[in-house]
Amino acid sequence: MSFGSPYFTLPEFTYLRARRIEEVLQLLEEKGEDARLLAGGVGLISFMKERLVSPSIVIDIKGIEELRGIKLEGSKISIGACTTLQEISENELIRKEIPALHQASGEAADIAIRGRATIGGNVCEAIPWVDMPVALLALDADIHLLSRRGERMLKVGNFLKGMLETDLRQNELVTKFTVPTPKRRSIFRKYAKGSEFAIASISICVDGEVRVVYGSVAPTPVRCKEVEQIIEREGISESSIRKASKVARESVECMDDVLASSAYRKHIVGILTASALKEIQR
Amino acid sequence: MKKLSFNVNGIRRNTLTKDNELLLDLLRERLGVKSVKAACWRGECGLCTVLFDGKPVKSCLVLAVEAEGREITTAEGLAEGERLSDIQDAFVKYGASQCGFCTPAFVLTCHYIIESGKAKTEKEALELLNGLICRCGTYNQIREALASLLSGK
Repeated sequence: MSFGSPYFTLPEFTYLRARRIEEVLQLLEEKGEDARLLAGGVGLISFMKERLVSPSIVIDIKGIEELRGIKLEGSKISIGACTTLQEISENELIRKEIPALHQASGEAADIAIRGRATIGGNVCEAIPWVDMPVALLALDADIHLLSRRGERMLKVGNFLKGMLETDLRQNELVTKFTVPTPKRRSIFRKYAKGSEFAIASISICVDGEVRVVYGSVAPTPVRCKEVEQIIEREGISESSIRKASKVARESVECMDDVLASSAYRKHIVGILTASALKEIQR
Repeated sequence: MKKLSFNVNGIRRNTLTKDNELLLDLLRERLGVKSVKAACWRGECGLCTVLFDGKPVKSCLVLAVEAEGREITTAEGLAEGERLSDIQDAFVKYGASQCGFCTPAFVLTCHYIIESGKAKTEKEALELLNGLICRCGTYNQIREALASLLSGK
């Protein structure tokens, strides 16, 4: 993100360590915008340094057991909102059943960030250049939200509204994400320098409905129907890969920013499309 | 203000902290742990890395209050008296520092890579060093120092 120089200190706030979900929901209901949730802190602490947010209360939720962990729930795999990217990347169930999520979490940022950053934070910050939302969109994942007034569930694709914008209401807590299975034939790939934000990324799932999603090219991850149709119609072959790569380059709208120009991103999108399709074919 | 009690390199530290104090500031400015460097303040250069219950974190992105009851390890905690740890020895042997500003963070992260056994190959080990910046460019020497311990040379 093209931030200016950060302040060296954080604004003043009161820190509270929550032990139960009910406690968090009550505080959110009472304090509204004055309260912010702290999990890994990677986003919130950066945002507070930039004075993008200055809450009067910071509620630490990472100690709440129910918000952590990965488990099978019927035909879905559920991932608690406070599960760290490192925990996801090291989980056997995820590695075997959802390769795209294994790859996206294992290659995100760097080891020190992965050990702190959580899947909930990664999605709620709605930063255009992060990896997890790209894979979650390709996997047709749901986000589960809870408030004192009830529970709701929506597609991650509908939750993300724009740069730093989501459908999260002030009184809501993200509890978990669920991914319908099977999702073994899924992949995530990105083009990035070391641990920097990706210049472009791709996630494809061909188990059931074909979904092809690009990340880091627009304010939110975007699906490319044109590429999906080619794969639906022709399957994955040498000729369809060539076609898909060309169509992706032509039809994925890419933004200009400090990381790369739109033209360069389009070039990378074409390459990622071909290489990810080749890999998923194996 | 909150009461805070945690371990730094095996020594119990009891102090008071403001809710908005960063772990980086507490360690470096108030507890005098000077190997923890303040550089970018935004989680990009990794030079404020410390081991938090044995795992690397960037202390500019952690609140001091979050360290309650935890074990923090910094470069000062690796040597035993005058005896350097294996990775510190390797850094000396391979000349893996120039100005030295990034050295504590690299040494700690290398220590973690070796101790955790997370990297099965040299390539995987090097990927775990992503996110740490050496402004002098001693990456090759750091790679050699780390590789010498991975291969058990």
